[in-house]
Amino acid sequence: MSLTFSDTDSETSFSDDEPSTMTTELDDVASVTQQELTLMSSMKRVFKEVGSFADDDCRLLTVAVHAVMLHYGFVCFVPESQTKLDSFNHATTSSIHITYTLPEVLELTKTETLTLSFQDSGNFVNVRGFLTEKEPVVHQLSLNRSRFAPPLDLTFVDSDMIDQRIKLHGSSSDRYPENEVFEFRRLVNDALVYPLLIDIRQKVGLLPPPCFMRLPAELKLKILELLDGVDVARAACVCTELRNLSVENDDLWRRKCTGEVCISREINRRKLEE
Amino acid sequence: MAIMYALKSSDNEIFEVEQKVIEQSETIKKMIEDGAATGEIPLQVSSKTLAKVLEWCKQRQHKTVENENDDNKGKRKKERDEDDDIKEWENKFSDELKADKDVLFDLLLASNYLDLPALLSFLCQLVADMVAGKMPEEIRRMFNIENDFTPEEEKAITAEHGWAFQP
Repeated sequence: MSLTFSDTDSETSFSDDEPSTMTTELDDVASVTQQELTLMSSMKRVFKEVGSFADDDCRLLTVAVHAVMLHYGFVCFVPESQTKLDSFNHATTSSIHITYTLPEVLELTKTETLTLSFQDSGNFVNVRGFLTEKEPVVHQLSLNRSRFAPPLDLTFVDSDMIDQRIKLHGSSSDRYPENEVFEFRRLVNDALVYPLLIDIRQKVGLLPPPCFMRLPAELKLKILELLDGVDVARAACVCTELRNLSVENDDLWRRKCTGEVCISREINRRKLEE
Repeated sequence: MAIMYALKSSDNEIFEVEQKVIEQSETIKKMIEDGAATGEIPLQVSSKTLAKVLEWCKQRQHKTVENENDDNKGKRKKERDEDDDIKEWENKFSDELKADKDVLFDLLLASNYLDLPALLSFLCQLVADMVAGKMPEEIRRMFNIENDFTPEEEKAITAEHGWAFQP
C-alpha cells in the first residue's frame, strides 16, 4: 500500500489559519509558501491527505513526525534514483524507514541524506534520526503512544468524525488536545528536526540554522552576564568559545561569585544584627 | 490617518506597518529620519522572523497607547489586569520560541540588527533562563553545541570548575 504525502500542492487551502500578523501583500508573486503556514495547518494538510489512523497509533505518530519534518523544509528522498520524492511507501513490518534531504542540499547537487527509522515497541514508538553515513551521530526520541496518539488524532481528524473519536479515546481526552500537540511538536523539534538540520547543513558546508553558536560574541556575553556565578562556571565548561568568553572578561564567574558571596555575607551580617 | 511604511523581508515579502509601531526599531527610525526610507524598506530579515518582530512591536505599541488614554480613575486596577494580560502574552510568546529554537535565535539576531533594546533584553533573559540550572552536557544537547575541548583541556577545566557541578 502506498501513502502519498504531497507537500507541493494546495498551498492556499488553509489560508484561514495563517498568523494574524501577516499583512497585506502588495506583490502577487509572493504567494503563501509552505514555510509561512503555521505548523498546525501544514500538519492538518498531511493528515487530511493520508486519512486518520485511530486503529494504528504507530502509524499515526509516524505520520505526525513526518508532517513536522515536512513543515521544517525537509523533503522525502529516494537514494537509489537520487530524486526528490513526495511520498513514502508504508511497509507492513514493525519498522519504517524514511529518507529525507533538504532542497538546498539538492541545489548544491549533493546527495547527502538522513534517515528516520520508526520502531514499534509496545507503549512507545522509538524514532532514530541520523545522517546516512558510516558511524553517524544518532538522535533519538521515544514517543509515548497513549499520551500523544489521542490528542493528535482528535486535533487532526475530520470534524464530522470527532464525536466518534472522543468516545473511542474516553471523555477526558478532548480537553486541550492542542497543548499536547504543541508539546509533541516541541519534543520532535528538539530531539530530531533541529539537530538533524544542523548536522546535514554542516556536512554539506552550508551555514547551520540560527543557533546559539551563531550569535555574535557580544550577544553571547550579554546572555552570560545574566547568569549566576555557578551557571557561568558551568557554561564555561561547554566549549572553547564560551570558556574564552567567560575568562577574557575578567573571569566573569569569579567576579560574579565574589559578588554573590559578598551579598550573602552582608545579608547574614544584617540578620545577626537584628 | 496613520503613516504607513512597507517593509520588505529578505525573501521579498511586503509588510505594511504603522510608523509608530516600527519606530521602536532605532535602526528603522534613523532610516526614516534620514529620509532614506522611501518606498519599500529592504531588511535582512526573513518573513517568518519579521512577522514575529512585528507581533512583538504591535503588542508593545498597544500597551503604550492604552496607558496614554487612561485617566487616573480606576487606573490602578486596570493596570494590574493589563500586567496580567501582558505576562500571559509574553509567556505564550516565550513558549513558542522555546519550541522553535531556530526562530528564537533568528529573532535574537534580528532584534540586534534592528536595534530593538526591549526585545533584545527579553530574548537574552529567555535564553539565560533556559541555560540556568543546567549541566554542561545538557546545555550542549539543548543548543547542539559541539564539545571541542581536547581531553587534557576538558580535564583541566573540570578540575577548575568542578565545584560548580556539586548539587
